Amino acid sequence: MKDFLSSLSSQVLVCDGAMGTMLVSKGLPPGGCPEEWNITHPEVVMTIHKAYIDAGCDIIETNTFGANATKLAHYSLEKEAYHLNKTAVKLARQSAGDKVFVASSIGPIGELLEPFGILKKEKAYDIFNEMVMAQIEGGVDVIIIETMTDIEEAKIALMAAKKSGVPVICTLTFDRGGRTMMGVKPDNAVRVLEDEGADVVGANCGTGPEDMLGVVEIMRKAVHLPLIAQPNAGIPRLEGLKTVYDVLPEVIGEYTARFIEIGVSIVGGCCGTTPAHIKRIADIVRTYQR
Amino acid sequence: MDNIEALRENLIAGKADEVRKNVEEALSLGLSAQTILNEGLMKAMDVVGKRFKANEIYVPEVLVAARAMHAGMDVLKPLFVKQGVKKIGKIVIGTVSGDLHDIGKNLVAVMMEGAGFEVVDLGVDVSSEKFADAVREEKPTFLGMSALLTTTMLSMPKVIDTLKETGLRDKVKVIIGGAPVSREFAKEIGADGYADDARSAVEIARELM
Repeated sequence: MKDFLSSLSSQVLVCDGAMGTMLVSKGLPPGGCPEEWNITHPEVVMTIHKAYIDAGCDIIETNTFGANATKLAHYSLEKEAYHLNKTAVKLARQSAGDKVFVASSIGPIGELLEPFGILKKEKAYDIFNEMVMAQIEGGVDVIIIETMTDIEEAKIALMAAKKSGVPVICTLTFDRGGRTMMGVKPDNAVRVLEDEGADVVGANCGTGPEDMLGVVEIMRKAVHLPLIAQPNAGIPRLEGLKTVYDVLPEVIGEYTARFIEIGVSIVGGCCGTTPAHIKRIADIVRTYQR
Repeated sequence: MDNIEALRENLIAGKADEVRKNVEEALSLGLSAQTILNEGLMKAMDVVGKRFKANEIYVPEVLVAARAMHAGMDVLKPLFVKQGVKKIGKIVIGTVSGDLHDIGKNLVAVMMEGAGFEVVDLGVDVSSEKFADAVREEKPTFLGMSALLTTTMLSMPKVIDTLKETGLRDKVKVIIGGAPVSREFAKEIGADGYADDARSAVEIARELM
């Protein structure tokens, strides 16, 4: 296996697309726990990983976004947090072999930190730390902290992740006029994350590629760290009782070129993106390979 | 009215202790609970809502302002019945079945409360039956439903179906909101209103009154 950071310094990497919306298309019921499928439907999770690998991605993300003790408690699975994280990394590793990097996903805890909510910093650290320990034991190449809206929460997750020694990517979601739900600005966010030791920073989810381009441009001016962009396939729309995302693979492809031109090092997708989107991204990225 | 002016400023700044003192002072100056509510708490929350909608302030600022509003409300509440303070309407609100996200729903609840509505919050992961039961028992003007996920927003038409089946659909106006929800979706499922954000929820409710 190549080293993640040295690969990143010499080429643009392709990250995979959505996991959650793919699981739904394969039968995860509304309100079901996506991470439980690592145990109950491992073959489905691996099918999704393999579809993304076949589409040409260099990095796949584990099915662990919400695998924290607080979120899992809603499904009475809080005691399974460690097991689910470790199992998810193993599924991804089995799918990836040694050709593709495995990045373990860590999403927000799902409660607001004090003083705005009731979650204490120490507890938040313990929750993230449990995920990190399990993911490291599972054999992950890189940790990706994503969809953060509160810079304090991102910092706590980063602190836990950095202790593991593997490279750490950290993304936030900017869906309130170029800021996160909690009001965090892209330039301030990446400066803080750089100081805290993030290896790659960027944006995911929240918006389609068009709005994300503006956010990433601001980040580019603020820091020299490698950047990652993982837009949604637009804003979801309903057709009958089926959710449809409108941004086509071709459009994602056009934006991939623009992301690379402003200096983005990793391009992938979030909600609504499919292996077809990732294949288009990979095709474009290959044309830029140095 | 200097006192009310100070109350509003303190509420907008999220100073709960100051707001509590301002409300007590206002009462000792002989202002009615209704006046303090309308001219103080509600007007200040209106400013907070407008600034939030304009992306001038964000969730943390709204939450501290809401805390300050509640501090003032706690002083006034014992007087509401005694002085016959009128609420402008009632809303039953909740996050739909299968969805555990409550930040947006809580913001709507706070804004509606700040606009003078009585709010009955059913929490998260609320089933169609629970929504219908609450409409039957609480007899609200509005039913507010929230969803953050594209998968769970599909619970909304189910709630509307349940309301129809139980003969409650014409007893309540349904307003929906949440990140994946749109005006078109609201129209398609037969909701009465769609709210873009917490502040819009208040505007839509006022329009539908």
